[in-house]
Amino acid sequence: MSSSSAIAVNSNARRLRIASRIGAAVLGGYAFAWGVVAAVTSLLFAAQVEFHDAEFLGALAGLLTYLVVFLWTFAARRMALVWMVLLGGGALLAAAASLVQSWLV
Amino acid sequence: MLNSFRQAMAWVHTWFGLVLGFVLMAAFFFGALSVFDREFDRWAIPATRIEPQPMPSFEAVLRPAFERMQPTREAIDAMRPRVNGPMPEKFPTVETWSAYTTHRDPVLAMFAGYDVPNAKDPEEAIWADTTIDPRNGNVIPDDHLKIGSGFFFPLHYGLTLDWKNLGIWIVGFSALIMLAALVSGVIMHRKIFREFFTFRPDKARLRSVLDLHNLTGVVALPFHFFFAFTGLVIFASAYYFPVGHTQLHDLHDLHEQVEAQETGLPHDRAGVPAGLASVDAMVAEAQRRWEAKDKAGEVGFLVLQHVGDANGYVSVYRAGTDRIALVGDGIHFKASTGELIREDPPATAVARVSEFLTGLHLQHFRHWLLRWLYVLGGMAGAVCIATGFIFFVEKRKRQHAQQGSQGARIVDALAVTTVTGMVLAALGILVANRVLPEDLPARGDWERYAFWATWVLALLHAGWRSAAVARGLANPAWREQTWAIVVFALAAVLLNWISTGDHLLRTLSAGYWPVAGIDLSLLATAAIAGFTARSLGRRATRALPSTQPAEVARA
Repeated sequence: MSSSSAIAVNSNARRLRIASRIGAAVLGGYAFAWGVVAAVTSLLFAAQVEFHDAEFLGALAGLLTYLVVFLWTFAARRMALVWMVLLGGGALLAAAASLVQSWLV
Repeated sequence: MLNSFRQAMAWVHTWFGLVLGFVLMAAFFFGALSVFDREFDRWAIPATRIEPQPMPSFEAVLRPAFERMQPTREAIDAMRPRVNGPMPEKFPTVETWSAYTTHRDPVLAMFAGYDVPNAKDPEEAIWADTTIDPRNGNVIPDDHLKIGSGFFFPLHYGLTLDWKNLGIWIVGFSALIMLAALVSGVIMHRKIFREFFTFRPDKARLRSVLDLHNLTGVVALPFHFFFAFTGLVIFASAYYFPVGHTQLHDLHDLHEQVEAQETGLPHDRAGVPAGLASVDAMVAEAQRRWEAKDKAGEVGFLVLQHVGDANGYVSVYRAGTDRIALVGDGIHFKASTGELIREDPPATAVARVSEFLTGLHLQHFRHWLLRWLYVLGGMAGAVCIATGFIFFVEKRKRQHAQQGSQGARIVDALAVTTVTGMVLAALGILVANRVLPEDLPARGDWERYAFWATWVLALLHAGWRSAAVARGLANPAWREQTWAIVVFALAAVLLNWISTGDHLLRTLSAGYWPVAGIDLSLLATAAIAGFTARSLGRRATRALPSTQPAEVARA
């Protein structure tokens, strides 16, 4: 009985780990990609690039970043690092974008 | 799960590919059909089986048609929550009138945006659209569904799940998974270039399915990557990452003010009523200017901004028939006088790249060979995903049969539904389109119901017949639905003949390719399905004797 409950706990823990990875890849990845889109758009606009050109390049950069961090999340060893980079990095990038905007407007 | 990098990638490829593969099948298949969306429209609305028409005269045709337009009841109700106070019933202030056409359009799509007093976002307009016969301005009834551009195309990018744009998000996420599946697929297979040339149809079933999966994935890899990626790019700024409307809204406003100053095209109304000079004369002047630059061409997009106001202007854009772009070379005139305000300068390098990516995906330019290659690419994508499902099932079904697991059985039934069931649904809407009475109210809705009903029946049938898979055998629904495809495809061609008189001899001799092409494609579908169903049948009878001992042993 003890061995079967150990397996059950084990498989629950495994499910949780998988759910955490999927959550990090989908939501964390999106947050990070949003940060990249916003930061690239605002920085390029600050560098005199036309707004829609900057927006387009920001989208390109953000989408490719999303793809890379999505795959990285599944390959990475330490989930804490993944969550930190994706949420922390995403927030920092988005904050940078808002800061640039506040200087320009 | 994640012992090595390659294993991690294999996990992503298998499980995300399986779950989102069902959506990707729809995106690829209806994308391939949308390549010929205008042609499906002609097939579905016989009254519009005429040659493509240029942009008609504004004064004679467009203006009266624009003036008749008003938002629909549904649009007004949808807008209600975004207005402070009561919603008006009439919208007299026209913010914009526009008309768009391509070299394949016999009918003209028209759009109108109206000012909404008391809108919570003062920039938001309420929209109306209509389709006219450009030869006489007659309205094509809304409830006649344009099956290509009005149904297969929205299915392709948003599954017609309009609630909160949910469908657009699901398809977008699936496109991301498509990209991830391509990258992880390449990583999983070290011998990628050998697989490029490997197809062993006579080898063991599992091996030949995997070969076909790799072949269709790798041969068309640039196509798959390009279309999944540009699909995301096209919707990125409006839906997936709308930074310009949200976080960087102020930056976007700043840009609009600067732009209005630089271009001389007013961003807002002046509030002073003004008349409208001859728009036909402005169009003629724009065409003269294009010709002077050696860029003769038709008008693709005509826009009137701030209609009836002193700040009103008219923009004329050249159709993208001869290059990879939707439209371009805009020339802008003051609406009240017809005087030239501005000619758009050559696009920036970045804008040209953007135009190229969008234009190559949407293909409004003229290139019939490439158009067919798109169909092939889309079908290759669908085959790649379908073989992925089959490989998943074939690899597991015997093991699942021994363990008494239903996993392979469920996946197989869903695969039947998304492969043969989806083709049946697409044929079902075409058959319904030719069977329903011409003047049935809300005819288009009934056509849509026929589509979904066919698909649900295919799902039920696939589930009902799936017991064999749990015993490690093939689901007979594959074969039965393939026969149904033969019947539906032939019925569609026959019903088109009976209901319109446009049989193939007539359409081919008249050279009316939109309808002849759809009919020929339906016949080809029937032939391929018939061949497939027969070989599935032979395989089933071959498999039968060898399974009997197992049955006996079980008994």
